[in-house]
Amino acid sequence: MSVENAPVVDVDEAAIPVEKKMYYRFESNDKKEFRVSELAIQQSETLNRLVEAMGYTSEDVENKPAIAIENIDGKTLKLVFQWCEHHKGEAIPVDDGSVPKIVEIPEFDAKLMDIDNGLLFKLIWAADYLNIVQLLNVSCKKVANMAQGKTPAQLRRVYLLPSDEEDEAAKRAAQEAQDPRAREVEEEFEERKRQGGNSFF
Amino acid sequence: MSIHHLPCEMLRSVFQNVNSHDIPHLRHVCRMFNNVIKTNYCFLPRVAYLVKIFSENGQIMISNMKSGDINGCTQNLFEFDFNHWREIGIVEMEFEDIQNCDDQDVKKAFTMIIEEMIKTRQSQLRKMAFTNVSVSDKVAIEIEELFGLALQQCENLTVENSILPISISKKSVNASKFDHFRWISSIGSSPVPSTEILKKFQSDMKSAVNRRSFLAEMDSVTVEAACDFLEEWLRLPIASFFNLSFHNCDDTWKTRFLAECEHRELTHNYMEFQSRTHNNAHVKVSFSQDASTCCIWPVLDVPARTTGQTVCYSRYFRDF
Repeated sequence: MSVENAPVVDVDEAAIPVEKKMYYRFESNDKKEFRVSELAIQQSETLNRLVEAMGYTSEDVENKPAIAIENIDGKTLKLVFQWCEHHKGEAIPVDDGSVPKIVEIPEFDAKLMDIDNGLLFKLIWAADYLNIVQLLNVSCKKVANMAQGKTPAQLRRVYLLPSDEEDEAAKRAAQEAQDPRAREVEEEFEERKRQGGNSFF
Repeated sequence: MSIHHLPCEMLRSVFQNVNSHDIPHLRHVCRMFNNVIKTNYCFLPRVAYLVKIFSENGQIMISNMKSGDINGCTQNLFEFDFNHWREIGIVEMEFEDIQNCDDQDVKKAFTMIIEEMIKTRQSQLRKMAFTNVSVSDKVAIEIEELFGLALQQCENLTVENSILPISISKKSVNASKFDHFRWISSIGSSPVPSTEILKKFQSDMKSAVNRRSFLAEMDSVTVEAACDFLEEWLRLPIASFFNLSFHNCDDTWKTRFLAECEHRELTHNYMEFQSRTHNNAHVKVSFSQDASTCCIWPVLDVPARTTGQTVCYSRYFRDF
């Protein structure tokens, strides 16, 4: 655990009243620590409820151990908190159930989400877990944009997915590699069936 | 982490953001995508469809067509598999030539339509039209319910040559979404609250920031309501487009209208009312004696050429 290595997220001093300025400490599952302002936390319903329930004073925050977020890794959590700090104080959108959703990706978010697919999916997962509505909206929009006007084959390449046939072939190959006997047995069975068929007629 | 590791509700939120025509492609990607889409069709963007319901030899028929296509597949409403509606987003619904049909059939048909609309979560309806539809009081509850849906969702509501057991209440007009309203040679169980509709447009116009257009065509309207609307437009800084036509406006109506204008000090020059906020805008009022109709619409004049302007505009909306 390295407090001094915790990323310092810049804060616009004038924007926050002094008494509100409280930094909570969070820890990812790979033991990276983050300091996040109270206002930024409000973007996440999950964390907001959590800190409300804990009712920490500013001394508690320093003296007690950092709040552990056990199922998100440091890389993802860093992105999440960067997003929260940038969008702190903004109103949380309400889902009215209309489709297609009209979501605009601001420049900052686009830059932040300029990452590989694996990390992007982790970000969606984290946004859903931490219940950050707008982050979930923009990250889903980003993934959806990748699908625009593509054929299924292209889509598989975009999302790095094997087709079902390839998937099954790979699974079978893995199984066979594990148990070489299986194939022999199967072949023997096929052979017998053929012979049996011949003798029958 | 691959996209396959996302739970299906998150895949659903992703798919909610794609275009409706990309959905079939996504279904082909893999079994998991297909399953998610198949079970969540009602929550995803759907291809826009027009639905037409009409009668043929006493049978009630339904025709579903893709928006933009002319030909659709027509079949008997009671044989239609409404599961198909899960995959389409109905944007327009037309009822046509439903006359002299069995009351029980009509009642059953309307009940089915309403139920299926709710079941398949149709929330993109933009237009509802009734043409040559006359139904008896026995279907009043269903028509009422359908109008309730339409008032909540539709921007365009048209009733022409029809007899419908409906009374549109003033309250539901104020809460509704439409900005195009036509009610011509039709009978409801109570007269259409035309004054309320004009008032609604008037207040929508005041808050219209995105320059909407307002269209109304009604059988009759009071002179006061028409003047109120006119007066409001002339002093509004945002000039929305509108087109109002009123039928049954005979000479008496015209005289009373002009008297009311004079009373309110609305001056005009050959039936052109100058806007108070825009120098180059005015409202044109036109009476057609044969059809006894009155049409009111705004005219925006753009100077033919000013310095630094390369394009030459002609005048807009002038009735030469």
